[in-house]
Amino acid sequence: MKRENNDTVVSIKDLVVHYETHEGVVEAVNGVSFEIKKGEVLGLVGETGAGKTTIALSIMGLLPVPPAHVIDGEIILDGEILLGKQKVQKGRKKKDVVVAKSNHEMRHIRGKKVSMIFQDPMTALNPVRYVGDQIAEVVELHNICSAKEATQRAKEMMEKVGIPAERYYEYPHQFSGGMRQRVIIAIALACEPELLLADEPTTALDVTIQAQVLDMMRTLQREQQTALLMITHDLGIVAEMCDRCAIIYGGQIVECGDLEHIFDRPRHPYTRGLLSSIPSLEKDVSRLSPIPGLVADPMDLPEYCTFYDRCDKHCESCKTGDPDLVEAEPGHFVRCFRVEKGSV
Amino acid sequence: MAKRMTPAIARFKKKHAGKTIQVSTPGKEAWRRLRRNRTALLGLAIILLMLIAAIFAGWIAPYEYQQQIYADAYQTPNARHLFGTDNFGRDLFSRCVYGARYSLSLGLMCVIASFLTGGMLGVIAGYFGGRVDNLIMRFMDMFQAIPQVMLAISITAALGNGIPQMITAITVSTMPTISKNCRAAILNVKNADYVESSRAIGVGRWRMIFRHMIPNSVGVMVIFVVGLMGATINMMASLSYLGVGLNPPTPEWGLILSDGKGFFTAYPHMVLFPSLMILFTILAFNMLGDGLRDAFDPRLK
Repeated sequence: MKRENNDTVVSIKDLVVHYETHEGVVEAVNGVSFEIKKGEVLGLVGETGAGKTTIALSIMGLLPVPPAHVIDGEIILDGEILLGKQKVQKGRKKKDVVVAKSNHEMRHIRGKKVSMIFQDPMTALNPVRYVGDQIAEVVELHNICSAKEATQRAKEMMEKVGIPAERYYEYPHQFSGGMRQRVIIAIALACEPELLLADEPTTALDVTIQAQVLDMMRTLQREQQTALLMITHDLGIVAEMCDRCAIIYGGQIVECGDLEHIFDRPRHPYTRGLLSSIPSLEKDVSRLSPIPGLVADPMDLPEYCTFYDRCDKHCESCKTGDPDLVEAEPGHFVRCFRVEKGSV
Repeated sequence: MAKRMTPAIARFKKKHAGKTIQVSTPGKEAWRRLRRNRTALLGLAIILLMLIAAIFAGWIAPYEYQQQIYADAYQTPNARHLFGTDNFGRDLFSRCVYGARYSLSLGLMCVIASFLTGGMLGVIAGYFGGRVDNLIMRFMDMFQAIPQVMLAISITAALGNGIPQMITAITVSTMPTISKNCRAAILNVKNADYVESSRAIGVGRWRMIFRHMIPNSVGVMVIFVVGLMGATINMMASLSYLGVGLNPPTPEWGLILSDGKGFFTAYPHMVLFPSLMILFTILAFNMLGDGLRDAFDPRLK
């Protein structure tokens, strides 16, 4: 995954995030690394509890601390270190401590350089303020401009996402779910951020609206050359929207590559399992083949391969340790002992 | 995409050309529901009547409130003196009308003062949480441990009688309840998704409190303000009645009541009319408060 590229917008290295609760430590993210280039769309696919949202919130600096703690890792956005190790004097020794940007510094980055689209459009808008004002607010906060210019920009954005600017002075409850998600996208893109994090942006919408909203997002993303992190559990959306895709399981990336790598030549048993559990229109299959078992409990992850217990191809040597992410072919990374040994 | 959307926008614009779109705000919705509630409307009417009496007291009252006509002393209600007169021959109707001015304006001042102090403290406690919350709330608990009226009496006893002293006393004694209510209202919206998404666009803490959180809890706070108005007027009358509120000859209702209590058996009208004024005003505020609660309750939509 260490491709040399100067137009990298965001790079995450070895991110480890734990939630420390009364019941124990939840190991939500365990050493995730990826990069997104300008104008690129990376899909982040995984089951519930795989750590997808935690990754997005760490980039935003919106992790609820406590219980969340960033144990290790580095996040660099557009050349700025949002999160990184620093040597801090502790007693006599110098210790490496992960230091995040302060909330005050992050305020000028959120909304301007990185925006986030939340899952549920029904509750993500302030119910007592005009939708237009809510779009104008982000412009006003980050661009030095008059209120009038901000209003103008908000109206422009509304038209861009397909809402007549006349509806500026209306309240969220007068909008349908799809319209609200359009407004939220308008808010997220109003300042033309470098990076957009979309956390299951269409999960709460029905399929026809989903297609419209995704289509519009894709158009705007191409127009503004925004890097997009698309968090989803729907491989259909990945196939439609993304350039690259990372499959995440138990807080680790288990397979990562271009779309054809993932869809045509999947190497990890989990990816294969995901693909075979999608109903197909072409093939006549009487039963779908789901992956047996449940998602690995992030409170009690095994020492060995996290997918071992559900893997249909596991062998004794799989229990010897945690496999590394290896490059199976150029740009295609897999975390599996069988690939490491070259026998698939 | 933008191009494909244009026909829809064009159609919308054509359809709504020259028309202003009817917008129903949460406030308008609440007013629509309130209008159907007769009790609340009656309460509102009484409050408006009191308000008119307070503002135009100079024109409505036939006599000055301190004007003593000894020839007319001890009169029961009649055509010249609607509510009768007291032992000094002062017209009780005029005194009650002027009394509305004191009760309403002082009540409002007390409520505003308690909101600016207790309310703000509650909002800060709710928003910041943790140690700040603990500190403010334990401080309020300390005040709440003393019975409200007793606290108010001790403050006026220490500061003396008079308008600013009484406002201080009432503000301090209502501070604990108002701060707890405001804290609860803020906690209610603190974890809302729109607060999280506002944070995600870089909204700072004070803008978050004043532009996003308080406007969303205005419904709860309006109900509380109206309820508090009634309670405050009640407390003012109690303090004045006990002789630790305002000084005579101020026509405060509690004070008129206190003046008349010596003649209660022979001339019951001297206590009846000021009592009725207090009763109706508090009743009106409570009826309006109940109506507002129903009107703002989203579950009744």
